Amino acid sequence: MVDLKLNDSTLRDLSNNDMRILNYIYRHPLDVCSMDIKAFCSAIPCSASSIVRFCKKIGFSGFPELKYYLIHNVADQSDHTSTSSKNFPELTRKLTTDVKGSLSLVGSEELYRTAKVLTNDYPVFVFMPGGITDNLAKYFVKLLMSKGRQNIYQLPSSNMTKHKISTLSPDSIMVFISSSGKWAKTIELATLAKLRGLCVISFSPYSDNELAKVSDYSLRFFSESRSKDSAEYTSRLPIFFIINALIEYYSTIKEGAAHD
Amino acid sequence: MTDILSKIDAAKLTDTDRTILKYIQENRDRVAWMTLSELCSKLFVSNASIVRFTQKLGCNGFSEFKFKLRNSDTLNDHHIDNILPEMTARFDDTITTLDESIITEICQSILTKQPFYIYGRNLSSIPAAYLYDMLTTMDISCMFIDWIDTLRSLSETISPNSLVLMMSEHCHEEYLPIIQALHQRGASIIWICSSSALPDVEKSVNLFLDTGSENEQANKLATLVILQAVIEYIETQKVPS
Repeated sequence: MVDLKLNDSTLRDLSNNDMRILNYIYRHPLDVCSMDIKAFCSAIPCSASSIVRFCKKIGFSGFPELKYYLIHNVADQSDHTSTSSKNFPELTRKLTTDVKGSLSLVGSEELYRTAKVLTNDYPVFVFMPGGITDNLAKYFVKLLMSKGRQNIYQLPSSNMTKHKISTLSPDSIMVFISSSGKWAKTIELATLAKLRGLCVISFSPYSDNELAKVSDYSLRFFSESRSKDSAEYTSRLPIFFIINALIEYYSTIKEGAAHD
Repeated sequence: MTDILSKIDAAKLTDTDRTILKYIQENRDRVAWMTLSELCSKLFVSNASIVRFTQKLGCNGFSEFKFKLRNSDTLNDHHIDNILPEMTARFDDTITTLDESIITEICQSILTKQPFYIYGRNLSSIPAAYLYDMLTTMDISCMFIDWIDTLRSLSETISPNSLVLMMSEHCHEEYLPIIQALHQRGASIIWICSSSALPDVEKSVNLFLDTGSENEQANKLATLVILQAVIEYIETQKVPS
């Protein structure tokens, strides 16, 4: 996993276009090492000036310096992972990219802010959209309850959630989890919750998505979308890690640890 | 556990070693979760200097040194700034110890044995249900069980060539008669557990994976990493048939 050492304020300054470039670098660091700026532009795709602006935003003078950094960083990483076949290192590299990329970009500040909200005694309602994502919602609920948090409610259908949102007091917290951030039902419910003045916490990918935009607290992750016919089976592994990090922050804040 | 730093022989230390030792003694909570390059840049020393230093403590390298430092009684790791580095380091520990032959063996069992049952209860029901959902979407027939009584009943009627993939936090004795019955009826058993196997268990289980640490959440994440590796391996369709 390439570590570009980006802090919270740098990340907040990145546009959607910048996030696409960053996403590409995290996914294909080795490829970027061998590209010139023209090839890199076509791979994203975007303009050369967008690349240069992005490089400057993250602290490099331009693309050559970024590439130089990547070449050294990626070379260091490859020294630590030598296994017997080509496929397995590729597989572990993919898992590492998703998990470590998500953990390095989520930002301590956003985790802290989100965990702090959960330390209030306001009721928490977790939307269960169905399918694979329900496992994440259940994981979130189980972990939070295991830390002694009271008033956590699961909402297992969109109609029930819609009805519930219309009756909740504004100090309630709604949690939405989406592997794409683009599922119409989840966006509709999150928007409705926002209009009703509820606090909205979401977990969604780094790609441009509506769910993140309507959320008060947005925790993001990397994961490559994939589906079979109409059934998607995108890896949720990085989301499990982000949920776990949030619960750890919550637990530590509750135990009174000081935040530097 | 003995403090790794107490093993040091001061007479064998160079000036650079003393600089490294002083920094680690003063920042052991942070160093336990740092990367080698981060420590190098903090101390302005080379990778090789740090590796040589850790070798003087009887470790193979910096990774083993960090692992021992983390398990030292003197480590106070519950600080908010340590959460993300700690999770990252634990992930590194899991991913670097993933054994290709074991992942292949699990995949081959999944692809060749039917019926295929996935068992997990309590918090282990989450990774078990996750695997069930993913494999079902990938057209691999499987069944999810989250109740030990169901597993017990199943063990009395299961057919040969079945596969039971179990996930649990502990290797409870109550599982022993169940897995013995499963084994006697010819079922294959793969058990991902967060504690080491009881002696009698190993005789009946085809593959026992110990994700062991004292932190249940970390164990579940380690289990999820293993399962995701299995999913990805099956997805690439590169498992020898």
